[in-house]
Amino acid sequence: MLSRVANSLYWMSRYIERAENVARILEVNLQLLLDFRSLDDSDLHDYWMPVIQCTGDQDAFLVRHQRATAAGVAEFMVFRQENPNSIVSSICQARENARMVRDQITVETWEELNRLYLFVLSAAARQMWLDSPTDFFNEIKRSSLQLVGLSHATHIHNEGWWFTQVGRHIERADKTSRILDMRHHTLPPRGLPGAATQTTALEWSAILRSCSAWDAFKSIYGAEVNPRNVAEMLLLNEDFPRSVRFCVDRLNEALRRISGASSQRFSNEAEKLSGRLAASLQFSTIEEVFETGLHAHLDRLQVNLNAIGDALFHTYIFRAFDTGNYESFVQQEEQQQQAAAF
Amino acid sequence: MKLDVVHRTHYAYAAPVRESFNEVRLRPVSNEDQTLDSFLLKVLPPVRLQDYRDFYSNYVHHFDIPEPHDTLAIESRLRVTTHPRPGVSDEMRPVSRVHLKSALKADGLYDFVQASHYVDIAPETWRLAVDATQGEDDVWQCALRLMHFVREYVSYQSQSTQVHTHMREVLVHRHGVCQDFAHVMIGLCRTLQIPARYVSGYLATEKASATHAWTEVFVPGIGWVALDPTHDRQTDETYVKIGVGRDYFDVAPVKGTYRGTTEREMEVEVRIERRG
Repeated sequence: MLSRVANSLYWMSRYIERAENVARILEVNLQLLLDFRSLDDSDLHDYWMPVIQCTGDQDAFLVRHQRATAAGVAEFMVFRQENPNSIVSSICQARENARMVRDQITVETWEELNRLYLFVLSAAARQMWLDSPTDFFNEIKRSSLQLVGLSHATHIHNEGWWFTQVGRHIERADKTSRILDMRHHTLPPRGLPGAATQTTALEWSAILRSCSAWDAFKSIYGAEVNPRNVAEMLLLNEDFPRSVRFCVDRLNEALRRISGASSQRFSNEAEKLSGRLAASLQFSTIEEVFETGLHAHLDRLQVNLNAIGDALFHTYIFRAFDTGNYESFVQQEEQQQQAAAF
Repeated sequence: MKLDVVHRTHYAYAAPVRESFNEVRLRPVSNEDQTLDSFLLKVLPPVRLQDYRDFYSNYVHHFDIPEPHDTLAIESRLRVTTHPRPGVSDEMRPVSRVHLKSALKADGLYDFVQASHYVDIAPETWRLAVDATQGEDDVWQCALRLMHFVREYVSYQSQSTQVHTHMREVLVHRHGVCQDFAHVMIGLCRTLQIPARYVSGYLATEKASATHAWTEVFVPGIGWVALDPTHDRQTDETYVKIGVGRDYFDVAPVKGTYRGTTEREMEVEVRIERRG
């Protein structure tokens, strides 16, 4: 398989996942706004900035807008193509990558992705957005989930498919950690936070609903919505498909299915880092995480995920030429058969 | 005759080499002329030895060394009992050459009348063979004449050739060692359609420093008979046979490849002792 094909498959699934996650973040936060009746401008600004920081686009946003308002933020994060991480930009990039590897993806996948692309650029999408943002976000989510389902159910699970798994799970882990980090300024820098206020509970519920984790959370923790439980759910839970640990485990597995290395070993830098990260998530407790500070921990996690992405790039996509000893096969010296002197 | 043989091959590389794959043919056969009592093969660095029998039923050990190493030592120790053999009388005239053509249809002889790695069938060679066997009709007598011819035509000079010297070079320069004598003999026999094969083994003399090479020719009605062109005689109990092939290429004692530097040194030591 060509490395550029692997690269395109990886980024295609990564961008689709990114679009879905941005839609989730925005939808829940827009909903939440309705619950806060008395928010003035500065509160709004404080409310929305973390959302923008969530996708790391703070600087790009501040260039264009002095203050963060709902309309401005939403516009920036959904439609603006100058924002490389907006929903529309992500879908365009995903489609571009898919176009390059159309022979590797099924016709159904391409048609759905193309349909989504045409939709978000259309006037109909703008109208839907004005009428009901919820419907718009649901459309994005629905389309993304259909693409995930098509990938799982109809793509042949070959090497290329495992590359899409790597892209999807790296992105999901990263975005989940950013979603989890959204309310970090309300947390003490170290140590478990105190009892949750009503506002806190609402905010952290919003975080859960961003990840579609509300029902799963209720089944495990009941109605105890507090930062500790939510962080444990989204960071360390082994079984919830959107938790960071789950994603890193799948990432780890996908890397090994590509290279053929066993789960006990690593055959390249990316596998080494992902194995290490999976082990640290497997053997941590949420108390330990809060001891070092949730924000610091999540920061480091994102750095690690970036390192894995870089290592993957250098292992599979861009290999520097091997410099130095170019060794060829040499024949072993052979012994001549001679009679004894006679 | 009871013989103890120690055969050591030592490679020293200028820089560590890796991915070394080797085949060794050091284990003598057991047949009616000799019985192998014991055989031990040691390799350093330690390897997992595997074995198989190749196309000519030679016992082959093989091993690989993937990790970097800067020396390779292969040592075989064996005990063999050689038996006296009747040989074929020099005066016998068992079969005429006209029967060779039909005899060649038997299994396993085709390889030994074709050209091979170190032996070719050339008109010049055929000319020499025809001149040497002028007027001789019997297969066995032809083989003996060719053996005498080789002994006269080629002079023994150690270190006059290398391990990869081809038969035609030997015919040009007319000197060589037993490996070359055997190749020339085989080439001459094959031009006359007499199946001839290369034998690798040991000759038990006090000054043995390497393995020895001789030939076997096929005489229809009798079978394979061993002839040593270097010494112009049939083999006796002082000969230990390891294996056969079309020429040296098929039965080289140690053959292999590795990845690394071409700067290396090889030392070979053979010691043969009579016991009992």
